[in-house]
Amino acid sequence: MKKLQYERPVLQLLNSGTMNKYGTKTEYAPFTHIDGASVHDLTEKFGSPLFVISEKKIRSNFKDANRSFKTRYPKVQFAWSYKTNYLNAVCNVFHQEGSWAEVVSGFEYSKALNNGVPGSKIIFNGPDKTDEDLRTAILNNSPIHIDHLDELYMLQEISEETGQRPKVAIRVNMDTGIYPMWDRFGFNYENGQAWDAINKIMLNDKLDLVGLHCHIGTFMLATNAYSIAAAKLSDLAINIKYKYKKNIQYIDMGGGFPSRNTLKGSYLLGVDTVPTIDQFAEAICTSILNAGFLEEELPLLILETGRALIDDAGFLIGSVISNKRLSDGRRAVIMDFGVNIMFTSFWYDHKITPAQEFSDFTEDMVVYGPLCMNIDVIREHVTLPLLKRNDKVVVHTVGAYNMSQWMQFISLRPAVVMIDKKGVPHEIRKRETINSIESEEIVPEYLKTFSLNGIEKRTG
Amino acid sequence: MKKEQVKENFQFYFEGILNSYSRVFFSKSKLFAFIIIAATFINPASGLSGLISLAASLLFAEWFGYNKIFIRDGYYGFNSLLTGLALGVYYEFSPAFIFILLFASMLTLLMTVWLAVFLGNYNIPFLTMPFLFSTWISILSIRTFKAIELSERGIYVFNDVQNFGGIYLLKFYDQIISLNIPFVLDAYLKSLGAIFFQFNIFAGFIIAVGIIYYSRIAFTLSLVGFFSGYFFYFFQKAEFSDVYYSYIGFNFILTAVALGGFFFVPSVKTFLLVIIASPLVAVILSAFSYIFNIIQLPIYSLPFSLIVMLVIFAMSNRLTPKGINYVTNQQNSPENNLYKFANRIERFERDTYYHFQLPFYGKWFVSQGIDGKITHMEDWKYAWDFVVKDESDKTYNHTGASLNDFYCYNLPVLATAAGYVSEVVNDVDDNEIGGVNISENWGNTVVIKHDNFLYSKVSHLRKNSIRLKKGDYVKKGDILGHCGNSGRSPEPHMHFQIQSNDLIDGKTIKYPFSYYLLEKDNGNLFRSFDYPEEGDTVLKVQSTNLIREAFKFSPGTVMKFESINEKGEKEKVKWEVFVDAYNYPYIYCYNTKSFAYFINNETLHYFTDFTGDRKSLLYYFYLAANKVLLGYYDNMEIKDKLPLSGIYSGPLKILQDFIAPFHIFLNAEYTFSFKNIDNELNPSEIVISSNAVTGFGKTVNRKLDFELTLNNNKLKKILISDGKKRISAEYIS
Repeated sequence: MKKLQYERPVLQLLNSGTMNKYGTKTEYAPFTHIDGASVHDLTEKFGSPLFVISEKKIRSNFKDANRSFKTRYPKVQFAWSYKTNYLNAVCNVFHQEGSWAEVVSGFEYSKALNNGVPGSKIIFNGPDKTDEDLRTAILNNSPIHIDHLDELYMLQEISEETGQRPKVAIRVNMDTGIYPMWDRFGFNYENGQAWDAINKIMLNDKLDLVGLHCHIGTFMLATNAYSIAAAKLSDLAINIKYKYKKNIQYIDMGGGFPSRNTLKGSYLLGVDTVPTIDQFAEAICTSILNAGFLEEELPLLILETGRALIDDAGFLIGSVISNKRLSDGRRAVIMDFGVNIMFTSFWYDHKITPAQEFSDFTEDMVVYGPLCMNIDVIREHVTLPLLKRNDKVVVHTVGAYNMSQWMQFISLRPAVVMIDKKGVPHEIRKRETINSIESEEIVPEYLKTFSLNGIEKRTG
Repeated sequence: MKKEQVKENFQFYFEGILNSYSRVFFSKSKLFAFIIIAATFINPASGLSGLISLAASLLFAEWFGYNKIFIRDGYYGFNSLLTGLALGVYYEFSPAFIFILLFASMLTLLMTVWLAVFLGNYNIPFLTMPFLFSTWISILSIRTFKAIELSERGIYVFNDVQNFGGIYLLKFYDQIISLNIPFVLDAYLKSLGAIFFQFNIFAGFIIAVGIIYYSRIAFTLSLVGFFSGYFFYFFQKAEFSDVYYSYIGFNFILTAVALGGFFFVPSVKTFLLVIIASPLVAVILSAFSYIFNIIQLPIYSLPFSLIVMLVIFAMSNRLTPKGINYVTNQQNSPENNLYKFANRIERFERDTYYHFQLPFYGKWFVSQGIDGKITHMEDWKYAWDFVVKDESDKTYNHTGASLNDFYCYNLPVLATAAGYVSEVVNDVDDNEIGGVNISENWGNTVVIKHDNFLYSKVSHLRKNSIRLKKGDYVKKGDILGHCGNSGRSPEPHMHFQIQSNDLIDGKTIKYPFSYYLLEKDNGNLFRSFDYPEEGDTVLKVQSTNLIREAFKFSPGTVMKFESINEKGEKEKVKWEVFVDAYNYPYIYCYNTKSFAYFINNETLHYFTDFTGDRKSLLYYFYLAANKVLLGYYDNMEIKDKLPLSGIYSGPLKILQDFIAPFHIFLNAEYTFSFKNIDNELNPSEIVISSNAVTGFGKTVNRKLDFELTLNNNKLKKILISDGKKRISAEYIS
């Protein structure tokens, strides 16, 4: 007989329902394997904490989204939003699936180029593009999405100077009925800024206006907002055709589709409330198809979906450092991962599942990270089975933003592995060492020596 | 200006005369015409008489203002030619004769016009009837004109031969006669000569060579026809020498060529037709000879004309061609008739179908095809059910317990072609998964009328998703409604069928989709006028603006190219797009007077026919862009067959010509693919690569490679590599 696992004792006040002999029972099962790879084996091999990415899930997410749009609209192109997760292995999975690249900085642009994405398939977004960035993008024939007038003027100057004709789109912001309105990026639709920018481009032959872009917000829960946005962009495109006899090649609806995470403060779980990609596709495609384009002049529809495609393909495995009881009697558990590597725990109530067998008993607890900071809270309230030191847990839906927004703070950043379609793990980013951090540091010569307790110590 | 006018006129009559000669043998070959002219002048008086009569007739026709194209093509001349030849043999040359000859010529012309119109109403060719009538009338009338004397020509062959080629030729002729040429061969050759009233084997031999040059099939046919007639006489124990001495054996030959390869596409069956028709000719010949002897008139080509007219009229009143196909696009050569016909059947047999595209965006899966085992049975067997599948072949995600789990649920359903909405049902509830509604079997349905007796129907749509009403007009690709689960549908799917009436439960008719892509091993195969099969994943063809614009050859478009060949020789070429009287568009090359007929149906640009100079840039372009897909697709190859005529030459082709009615072993294949696109988002340049390969089996006989560069919505550059030849042509304006 297998030895029963030790579990600490728990006393629990029954405060709801009729009494029964089972207490509060958990509904979920331990999460022991990710795509067939054992969680415990993974931590043994690659350490804890550890980010795990499921290649299978990425591909199926992409195919589902692609199908959702392509069965509703004749010309669809996805562009992988680099900022969401720019680990090269991840980007390349998307590129293998046919995705272009969407970047928002010179750094990301270089990353896409290094990954082998042709310049003409790198969409350059963002408010901060340097003169040098723009020149590179123009040379590579990349579509540049203009964010503000200064950028427009800068492009015209470069074009005048080099004689090249950059391919540009303008980013348009608009009222889609949601709050807050993202009006700090691009040109406003309602007050005429967008037309002002369009006229400035069209009346001066220096730039080739190929597209219109918008990005109405993030983690959008209202599909209707996309209908409105698509209708407004289509309206611009059709009127550009009327006014300038110019066919707009594409409409870029940006990103913003939510993942299945649960936003902090929401009553219901994300999986139950978040609209599906199908619903967003329906809203956007119907809007464009009904806008009044001639069938052969329908613009290409570009989507910069990031989060919705990668979030649930990412897992974080961590270990319990300690159990604690807080002053008010609440239970707390300290994990070896914190907000430093899981930035998104500020936004979501992440689902956490133990990776080993547990009994039916659960306890409400606070989950803390390992940092010496009070804000390092992963979950303020979560009902979990009873955990002990070194138990492994899996945090779900962490594929988006964590691996690009993580901080090297107090501890080093963990390794990232990708489980391929056959269940074989590949390390795609190594655990950081002290060298990864210190390699960029320079200590001036006069600071290299110091003496404590009278014993001279020399570093470096 | 005046000089050009004269030159043009000369050219017109010159062509008219040549075509009239070769037209007697259903040809338009100029060299063949020269050969025949040479043969007719073996008896110079007769030859000259024929030429005079022909020239007069052409002048009359032009002067009266008849259709210049018919005059030039020899339709109005060949009967007068025959009249002239016939009379020239009979009568001594004298001013009086020439006078009568001119009138006979005019009479023939008038008869030609009358019979052309009169018989044309019944789609019957007039053949040599005008010649027969006017020659008989002339002969009968001349009996009263004492000024005209009978000639001895044609009776004393030796005299004729000596007159034509002197004593040496006579000696040579004597030697040939002493060779003891078998009787039948002698009869065959003399019969050939007799077509042009030359009663000697010299003329027969020359014409035989001419026929082989003009058409191998015609030559074979002439033998088959002649010998079938001969054997008929043999079996009936009739005297073939009667035929032989009256020189009317040619009736078998002309009938054979007319029925075997000119009016009908040569095939085994037309050869059999010739064998059957020959005894008929013999019967008519014997019967009418008897009558005509009484009034002492030769019957000439009457049996040929009567039998061919009879057969054509009878054949045109059949329901199905059954292998004896009427030639609709006359090429004036049995070979070309056959090759063009074979190619047309191969390529365009299905082009007459109404064009239906697939009724959806993206990739769909055929869950039930024609003759499906679930419901596509009996009267409803020509139908398709479509669903959407994921990578693991599932049609739903999550549990599949709710309609929304199904990928195809609520997807837009498109009009497959333009038409009027003739029936709409929009109020049937969608079933829960697994439920069926047998009472409202078809669920929510749209029936569209595309043409008389041609309707399309989509069924099982989502309740209230159809925003159309009866009588609305829909364009191809318009959204009709959304895919649902109403009617006899346990899980969401789309049912599509073509029917001949407007009923909701109309019976299906077998009808293909015009163009679609079939997904296969990560690539797509292009399908035209085909039927998707159960288990296929299919998607509709999306065109690309740049390609569509570059191949938009609207009437009046002028294109100029500058070409340079491997020797560095430059040439400027001018093309213009026209539309002919039958509404067929073509590109015309001013430099070479060549025509390339094309069709552009928004999915494909393809050439259907070429006439003219086969060394011209237009000919190469006709080959290079023989079938162009107007949408860019990576890794996709389109193949098609090219007609053998024109692209082939040499001994193999001659061999092929001889056996063509029975078996075509040579092939000419066209391959098309996209080579390069500079930017899929907003392409400014697309390069097409194509080739034409001829050969048999795996042996390559000739290979031509082409590259077409499309830039800035124009055909920018044409690169040609034909053996050692290299031509590069650049669009200049």
